[in-house]
Amino acid sequence: MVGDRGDPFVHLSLYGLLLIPGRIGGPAVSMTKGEKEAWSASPAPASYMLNVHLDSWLREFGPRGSERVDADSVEHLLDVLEERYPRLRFKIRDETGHLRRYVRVFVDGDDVSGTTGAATSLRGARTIDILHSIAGG
Amino acid sequence: MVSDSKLRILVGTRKGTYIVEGDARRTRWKVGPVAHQGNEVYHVVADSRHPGDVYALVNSWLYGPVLYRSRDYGKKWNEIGTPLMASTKTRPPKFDGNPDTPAPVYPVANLWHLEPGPPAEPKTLYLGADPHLLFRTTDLGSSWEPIPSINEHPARKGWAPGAGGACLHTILVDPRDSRRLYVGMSAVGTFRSEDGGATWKPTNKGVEAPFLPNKFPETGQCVHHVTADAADPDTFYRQDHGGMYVSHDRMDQWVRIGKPLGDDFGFAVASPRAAPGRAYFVRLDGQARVTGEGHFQVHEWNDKTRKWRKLLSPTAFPGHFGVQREGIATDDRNPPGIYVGTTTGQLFVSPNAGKTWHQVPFQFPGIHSVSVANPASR
Repeated sequence: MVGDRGDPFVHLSLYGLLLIPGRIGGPAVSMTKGEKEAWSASPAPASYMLNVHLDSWLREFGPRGSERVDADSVEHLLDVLEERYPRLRFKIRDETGHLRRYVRVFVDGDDVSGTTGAATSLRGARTIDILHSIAGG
Repeated sequence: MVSDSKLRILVGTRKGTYIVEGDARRTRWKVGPVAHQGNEVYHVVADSRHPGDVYALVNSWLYGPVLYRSRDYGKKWNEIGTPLMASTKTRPPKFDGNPDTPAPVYPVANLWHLEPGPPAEPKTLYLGADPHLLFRTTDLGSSWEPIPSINEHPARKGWAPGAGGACLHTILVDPRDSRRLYVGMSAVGTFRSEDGGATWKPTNKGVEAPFLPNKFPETGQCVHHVTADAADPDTFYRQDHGGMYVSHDRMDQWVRIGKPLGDDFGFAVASPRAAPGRAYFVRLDGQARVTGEGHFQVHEWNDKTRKWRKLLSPTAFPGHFGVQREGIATDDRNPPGIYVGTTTGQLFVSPNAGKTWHQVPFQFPGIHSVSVANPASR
């Protein structure tokens, strides 16, 4: 949102917009430390509205571009996505609810797949990238 | 629905699905564009009850197993319902050693084999999966029911996987009685049901398990593939880890026929509709898992004369070739065509029951599965 150029909030937000391609619909990119700090400095939204990006392999089944989702955990986010895009069901998680082995979930640039996984809280998070591991052959 | 007289070879590979159209003489081939590119496709099979229908069992290393169907022999594919174990958050994914813990949920790892049901049940399909799972649909895949007699078998905690995975790879339906079913599972063996899958009886008598302390157990044999004889539904040919076998009594007793070949290891076996009493095996070296003679070879078993015959000369296709359990197929024409796909991507064809052979001029990715679709294929 563009406002008075003298408003420090707007300057910070514009700065954030310039440095974070995901926000303006660019390709999914993990944030640098500087980008994270700039992003964190902006005030948190009232609800956990997140930008979600899937990599090219998963886009066949889900959103092709950036998707806005309101969710408070990775599990909740995946439930919402699967309801909107039924073909995504069981593609990211198997039927026991575990993330598939080669799926990687990044919350604001941090890979949570091998740690808190689907139980990861999304409080304060902005961007979720769902990518695949460097694997195959 | 597509109704024509074309013969098609359906090929599942490490990197996608191919449909290969042949001419009437089965000597000229046109390879169609790849579908499901980049994905492992374990089995591609036509449903002759519905001309045009082809199923591809795609197993993505990233997003798991997905079942696709084409209604026009592969021009267009749609994802249809994939059978999965019941999703639940109350049952644990693994056994934790506590006998009071509810039985684990086994997520479906890979889809291995799809078998159309009998003509009288045009919407029935059976699907075998890993780990040792069997599903059935009676609405052409809109919904799937797990078969609890297999999927929750009381002995399954002791069912270990084979090297290729804990696959249920063979499903056969008796053409005389659809309640009589047979399944084959890697490192478990074969079973027969007389009641539509409600109960099962092990059928491994006479089959050696050389890797076990008890060489002839009731179960535990690593069956690789089984095919039925077209003329006699009580006769079956079995390629097992422990050799090549035939049964003439609905798998109650197996007789080893492969000893004259020496090392009778292999994965694949097929039996042609137009030449009953014949079975084709691809013998592999038991350690290297490639054709041990140094060239491509198919062995024909004649169940009437009880004799073996090699179908290729040593100079036809020199090299070391691997063939997987779904890697050989026959068509329904007379003389029967034989089609063999290798793990290095060669597709060999004989249009005349093994008299002559040629290679389809296309380098495929490693081939998992070969089957044939024509108006009367199986």
